[in-house]
Amino acid sequence: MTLLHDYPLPDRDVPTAPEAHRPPTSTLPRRSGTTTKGTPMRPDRNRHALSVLVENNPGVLARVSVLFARRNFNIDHLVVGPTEDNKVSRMTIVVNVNAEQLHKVTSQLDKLVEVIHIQELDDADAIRTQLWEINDNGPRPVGAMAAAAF
Amino acid sequence: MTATPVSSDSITDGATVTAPGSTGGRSADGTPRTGAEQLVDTLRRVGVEHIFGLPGGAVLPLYDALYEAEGIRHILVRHEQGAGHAAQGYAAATGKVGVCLATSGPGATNLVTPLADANMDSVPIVAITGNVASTAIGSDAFQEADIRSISMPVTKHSFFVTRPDEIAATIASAFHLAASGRPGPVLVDITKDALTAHATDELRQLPMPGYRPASVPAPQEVRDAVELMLTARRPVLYVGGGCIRAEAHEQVRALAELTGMPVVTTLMARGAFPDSHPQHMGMPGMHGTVSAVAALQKSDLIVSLGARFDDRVTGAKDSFAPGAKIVHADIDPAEIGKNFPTEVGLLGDARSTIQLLITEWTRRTAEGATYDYAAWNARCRGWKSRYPLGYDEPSDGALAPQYVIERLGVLAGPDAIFASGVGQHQMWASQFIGYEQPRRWLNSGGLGTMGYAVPAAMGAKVAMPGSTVWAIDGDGCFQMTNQELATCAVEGIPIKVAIINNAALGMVKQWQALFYSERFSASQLPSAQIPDFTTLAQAYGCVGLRCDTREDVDRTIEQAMAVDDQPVVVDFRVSKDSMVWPMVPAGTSNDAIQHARDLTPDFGEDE
Repeated sequence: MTLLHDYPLPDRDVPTAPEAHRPPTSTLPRRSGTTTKGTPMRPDRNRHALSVLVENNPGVLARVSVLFARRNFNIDHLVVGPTEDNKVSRMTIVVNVNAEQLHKVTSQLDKLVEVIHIQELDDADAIRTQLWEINDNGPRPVGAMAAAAF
Repeated sequence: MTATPVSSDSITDGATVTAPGSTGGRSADGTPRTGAEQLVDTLRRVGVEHIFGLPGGAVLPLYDALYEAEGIRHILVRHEQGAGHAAQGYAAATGKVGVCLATSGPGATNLVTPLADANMDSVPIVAITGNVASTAIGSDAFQEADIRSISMPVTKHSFFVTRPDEIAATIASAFHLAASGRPGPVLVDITKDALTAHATDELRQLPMPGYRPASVPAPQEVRDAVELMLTARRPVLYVGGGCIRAEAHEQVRALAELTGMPVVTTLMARGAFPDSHPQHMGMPGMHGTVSAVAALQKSDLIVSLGARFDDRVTGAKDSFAPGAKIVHADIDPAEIGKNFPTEVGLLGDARSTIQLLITEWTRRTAEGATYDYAAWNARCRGWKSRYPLGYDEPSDGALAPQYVIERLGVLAGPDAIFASGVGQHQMWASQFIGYEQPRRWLNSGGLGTMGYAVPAAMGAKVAMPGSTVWAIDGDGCFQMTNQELATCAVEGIPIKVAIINNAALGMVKQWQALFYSERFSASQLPSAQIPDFTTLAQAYGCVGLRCDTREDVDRTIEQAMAVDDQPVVVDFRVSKDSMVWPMVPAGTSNDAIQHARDLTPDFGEDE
């Protein structure tokens, strides 16, 4: 947070923590378990969630993310975890791209030697909400960080 | 996206069964083998005969194991980039996997350009690099570079090996990956301690459950493709480099002659269909023939065989072949529909795919299916005869570069192999040499790497010692990698180099002349004076020749052809102002092609 002083303050008022990233109308308590909390959850038909089984090797996350970067796609959410097979990991990736772009990136993804299986998951918005709950636990973006985030 | 079910036992420690020939990690006299020795054994097992490389600290154990290795010849290059391009030339000329070897850090990073080049042009090469000991990885140790990550976007796959027992399996898997499916470069980075430790070779191949290269297209898609071909009125076979990599040239010719369709061959496919064939319309693209560009542009069906609709072929995408449906055959599923919507996708190896198309076509026509391309073929032949490739003699009386290249093609004969750099000389070499056979034309197509020619020619000559190998290079390109002439002279690799010396970065200068009001910013070289290419050649232990006039061209080429025990460099000093025509200006429609400066061909009325 000390970095704040090294940046010029933005012109406009920047919301500060903890409201910075929340819809101002939200009155629900945190960790309530309901689906309405967190970031604005506008349904987006360009939002897609992929479940990708990969070989559990060092560097496989870099390889997958480099591929998205090469196509200039920003990854919205990304979670990697183990599966019941310790040689296989599962990546859950949420991206905001249209269907045509998604097809191109998954056909490139499928070519990676360490990618075993790709499946598009149905309710990308709900998955994003749940991933948000998992992720929404660190320090709040404030000041210049919040300005960059908005 | 394939829907292969994955069960927990689908990835086993499989392949650990001790295969026949395994030494169980011991040499004949029972002493344990090191990782480096297992590596060399594996290279021998997969059939490697030649390696291009340059040693350094991290690969010293491997070089020690290579010292007494029988059946493997190591060629010491002068720069790792030369090793990479030599491996590419070796692979492109033969279809075998080329191998290059470098040390950690700068040795490995110097391989990045050839890896990217091989990735774009689907060339099967394996690059082996040493790295610092696994205990020092991540410590910014001397000559440490994370080449596995650096090479990720420019290789088919890259491995990082720290465990000695995995060396043999990883090397074997790397060769399998490089050569199978859509070929490409594979990098194996091995830490120094893994090379020196004792190792077994019981693991013979990595499981790689995610690697499933396509084989043959589905029967329904073959039927759909042939149906489209039969109903088309203006079809064209668009033949790409995949037909060379898949050894499909005979099938291409059979399909073309069976159907009577006009054929165009891309820069990467020169030689996949004989240039002398009457159905051949030439090379399409920015500097392609008018007939090839028109055949694509006016077609109603493009049958793409191992090509990828590169922007240099299509010109402005929104106006490319507006009336055409596309049948796209490729071994890489990501290519189908990548640039243009595809009517039918044929996923598989080019040779077996074309064979299936031939079988289906034969069956349909035997059943009485008819087709009519007569009017279209007459139109294509009209374009071909009305707008042949040609060039004007330079007004200043200087030597025409096109004439030099034309004579090289005639005097070297159809069996000679030509490697070129990138630029004007590359386009002229693709235009004015007649290619009758595949694997006679090696160049950097996708990445456009200046400096490819000399090391690639070296690699091709090593692979094909009985063939004449000419590097056709520009004076700019030649100065990027000419240090490999020393390798050629010392190792006895008698290549021939024709420098098309126009004292400029010619293609840059052409663009500046056409699109930047002749403001020749940083594109002129003093190559008529510095360096003196003939004495440079002699300093490298080569024969150096020079040619300035049209009368001397044949005599000089014959003089170069007569030398068989030394590399030869010929400095052809050519006109500074010659340009490559035809040309589709960058970013414009193929319809705007000019067959000579400011001259647009008349394609005639549409049907």
